[in-house]
Amino acid sequence: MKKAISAVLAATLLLAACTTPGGGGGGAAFPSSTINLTVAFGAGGGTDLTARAFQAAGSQYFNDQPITVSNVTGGGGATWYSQGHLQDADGYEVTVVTVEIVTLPLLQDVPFTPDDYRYVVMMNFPAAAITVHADSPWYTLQDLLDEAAENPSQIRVGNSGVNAIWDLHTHALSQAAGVSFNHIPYEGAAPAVVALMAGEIDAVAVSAAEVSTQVLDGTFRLLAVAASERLDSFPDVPTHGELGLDVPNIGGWRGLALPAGASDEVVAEFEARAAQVIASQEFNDIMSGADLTVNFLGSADFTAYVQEQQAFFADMIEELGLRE
Amino acid sequence: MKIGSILATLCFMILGAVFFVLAGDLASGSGGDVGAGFFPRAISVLMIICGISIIMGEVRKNSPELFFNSFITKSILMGLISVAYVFFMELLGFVIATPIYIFAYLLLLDQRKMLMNTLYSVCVTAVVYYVFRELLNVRLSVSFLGI
Amino acid sequence: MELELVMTAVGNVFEPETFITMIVGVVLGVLIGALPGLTATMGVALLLPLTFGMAPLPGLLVLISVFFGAIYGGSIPAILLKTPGTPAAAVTVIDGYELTKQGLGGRAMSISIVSAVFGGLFSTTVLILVAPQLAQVALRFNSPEYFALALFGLSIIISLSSTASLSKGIMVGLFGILISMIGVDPIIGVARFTFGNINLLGGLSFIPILIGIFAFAQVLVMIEELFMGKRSDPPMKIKSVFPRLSDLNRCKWTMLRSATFGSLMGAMPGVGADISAYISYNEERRWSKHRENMGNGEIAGVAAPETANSATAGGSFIPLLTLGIPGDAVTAVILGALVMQGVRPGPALFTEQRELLYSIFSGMIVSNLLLLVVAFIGLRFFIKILSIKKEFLIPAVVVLCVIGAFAINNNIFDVWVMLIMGFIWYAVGKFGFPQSPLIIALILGPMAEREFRRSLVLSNGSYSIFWESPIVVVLVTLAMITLFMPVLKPIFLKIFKPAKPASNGGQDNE
Repeated sequence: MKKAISAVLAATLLLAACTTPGGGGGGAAFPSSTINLTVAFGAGGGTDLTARAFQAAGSQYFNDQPITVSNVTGGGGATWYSQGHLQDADGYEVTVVTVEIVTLPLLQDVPFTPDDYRYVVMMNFPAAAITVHADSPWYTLQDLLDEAAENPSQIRVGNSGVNAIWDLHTHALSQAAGVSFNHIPYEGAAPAVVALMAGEIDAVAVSAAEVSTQVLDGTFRLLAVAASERLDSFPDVPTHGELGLDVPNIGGWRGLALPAGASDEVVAEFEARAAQVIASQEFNDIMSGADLTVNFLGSADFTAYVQEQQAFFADMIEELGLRE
Repeated sequence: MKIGSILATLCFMILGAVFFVLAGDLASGSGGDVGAGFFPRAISVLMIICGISIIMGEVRKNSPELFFNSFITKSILMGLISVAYVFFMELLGFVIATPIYIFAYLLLLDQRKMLMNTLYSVCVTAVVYYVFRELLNVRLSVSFLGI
Repeated sequence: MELELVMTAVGNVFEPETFITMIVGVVLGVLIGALPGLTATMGVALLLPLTFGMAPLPGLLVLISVFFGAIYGGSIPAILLKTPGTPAAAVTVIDGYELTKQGLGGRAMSISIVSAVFGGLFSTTVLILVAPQLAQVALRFNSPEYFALALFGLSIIISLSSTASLSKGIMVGLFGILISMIGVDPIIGVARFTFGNINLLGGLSFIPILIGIFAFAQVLVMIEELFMGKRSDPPMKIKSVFPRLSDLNRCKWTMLRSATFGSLMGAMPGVGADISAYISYNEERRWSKHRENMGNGEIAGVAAPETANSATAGGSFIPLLTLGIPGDAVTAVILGALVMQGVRPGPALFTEQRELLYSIFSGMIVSNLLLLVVAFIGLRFFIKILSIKKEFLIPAVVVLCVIGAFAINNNIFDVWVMLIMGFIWYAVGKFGFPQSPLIIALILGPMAEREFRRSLVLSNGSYSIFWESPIVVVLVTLAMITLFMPVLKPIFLKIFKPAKPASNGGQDNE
């Protein structure tokens, strides 16, 4: 009996020894082990696809180390963002960070703040857009806004979730234009797009990429985008700014972040390599195939941008009383 | 069975009542929405009504009273050992806790062929580890041993 | 000209690289589906990165093969171990496990293979023939209609519970709806019943609960039986792997009906294989000749959900390919794969990329045929699982339960949920509280609430949005009938059956 127990323990320890990951072995230059990207949203979505594009193009710039992508969903991103900053800060545990890192703490009680992370690179910035069905009587954004002015809170604008980024865009637009809409929440961008197709709602506030298929085949009409310049993919669509509306660039940006404890050297090293990935042909090809733009910001610019966003959303959310 | 059913039903009803009270603090709706508390309250009311109906039915029935016997107690104990396994897994990591757990279980279930037990414990652990960690990238229980 | 295109398209599927990856996909899919805790969604998501290195067609087809394989695979432990491998197989447990207890598990497995493949082929055919038209019909389903559908689905709880435990079944259903409200309110966005716990903010994960109340609770039951000295279930005789003709004949209408329902429901975005399995099972209890036997080991009770869930899997490609809308989580991943390969689903696919489209169709058919072969080959092997000594099976199953629950979100909290729910259901199951209503409630409860409330937001509070739609009226009426049937039935019988038998044997108004 005793022999058996010691046999099990011995075998167990042997197994344990064999399976201990090499993880960041002290002293070895970064990167010398698997890079793990974690996405706070579901597989197949825009954030996930951006991460996978990085994965596909990235290994060769990271000493051929494998890059993995896993999804830990829940709470609109909150579930992972609360855990991501608690991971090892050695550069191997990367969080794919989105605008929600800024908006969630402002809207709810969550155990994290944007300061818990160090922002390394921004990869993509899908600007918000206003889209209507091609059968509707609105040909310009002004048409829609006029109707909204005459019928307060009647125009039904679908979004991907209450106080999600596209909904915040609707709020920003209604503030700038002085009108009010009827905000209809859905469980993501896709159901909202379906609802527009079915005529259940009058407009959607999601990104241009999420409606591109339908805009290109003529089912939808893209009225305006919330970007600083016109989109390459839709050069005929004006920006809010051009239409005289004071709506800043709002979008569900995506980037890579490390826990706040990461050292400057690791961040710099990661940034340099990630920049190469983002500039690579492969990454750009995959992104454009998926209708995702590539918008790069390095660590310093990205960090500054996050702070800007924090100030901006803090103001907006406070003014609109959106915090629960 | 009868007492057990009634107790269980009461538990459900109490849960319903708790949710009912908590739902009172929830935001009310705007623009036609019935509010966040409407459904929870409606459901908890239904649960309480349903519970009364169950209890009435149970009281009328003649069902055997005896519930606890040694077999059930034993299986609950075995279940609690599984709970202990999860605790140890968090502490010691998957690779260490699992073979020990499987081995212990086999012993408790009267399997005395030590060699077989050992082999089986280690193999199952190895297979599950390989499939989940390598193939599926599931990070198995970070512990101070990093395993 | 068109014919040439079709021939080329079909030929593409039989290219070695494509064909072999499809076989691998089917096998992997079945294995993933068979492990409780691993779902079709996870399987497809995990293989997604591997497909980047492949050409578009093999990459897509491997994902599709995994999908069909996994939807079938869930039925294996459902029948043999009373544990659904995927949510879609939760209904298969009902009659499937009964059959195993009677020593007829082999026949159940055979029928489930045939049903699954039939469902897949049927829905693919529907897809090929009427996809665009069906997609337009599916678009008529908006919030009010989805609410009515959810209500109708919830009313199934009533009919699935026997008269004896009717109120207990309802209680379980209500409990399920109640706990499904933990998390974030879908319309207002406030946290409900979360007590500030970040883990509850996302709500209770569904899969850990499924694993807990089926697998873990079953483990506890098995341990109890072991201690009581009950050895094993009657041995399963397998004369031949193939299903008996008599079984096939018995289930033919079931399979046709369920395949139809399944395909239609797959076409509706938002209705998944799990919901359609329940609804088809329920419809079979309404229409089938064998309905009295359902719940007691009726082979048609296995055929119905298995046909339906595979048909829904195929049907969910209808909105995906015609409109570019993912019908459920798996098709969302497949949409991602399509997009990354530069394929744009929608009308463009039907006009400009016909060869690829036809290849996809052919691939869907071929993967179902491959599934048929693979599953029958594996059948004897699967059944061998049962002959593993229970003492050895039990700890392994527990380990799988724990890891499976953990793997969903890499969160140990889910494991605790799984364990707690397992203990609760072990206890409560002894008092006659069933498991199935909990699953139905967890799936349909949230849907019912959010579609109801969203409908009201859309209509600015006017309830007319509900009765203006014929679909809603029909579904709600059906739901009401089902809900009140237990109360109405005795009344009907009293009214319509004369007190003394009349000369023409009375009328049965059901």
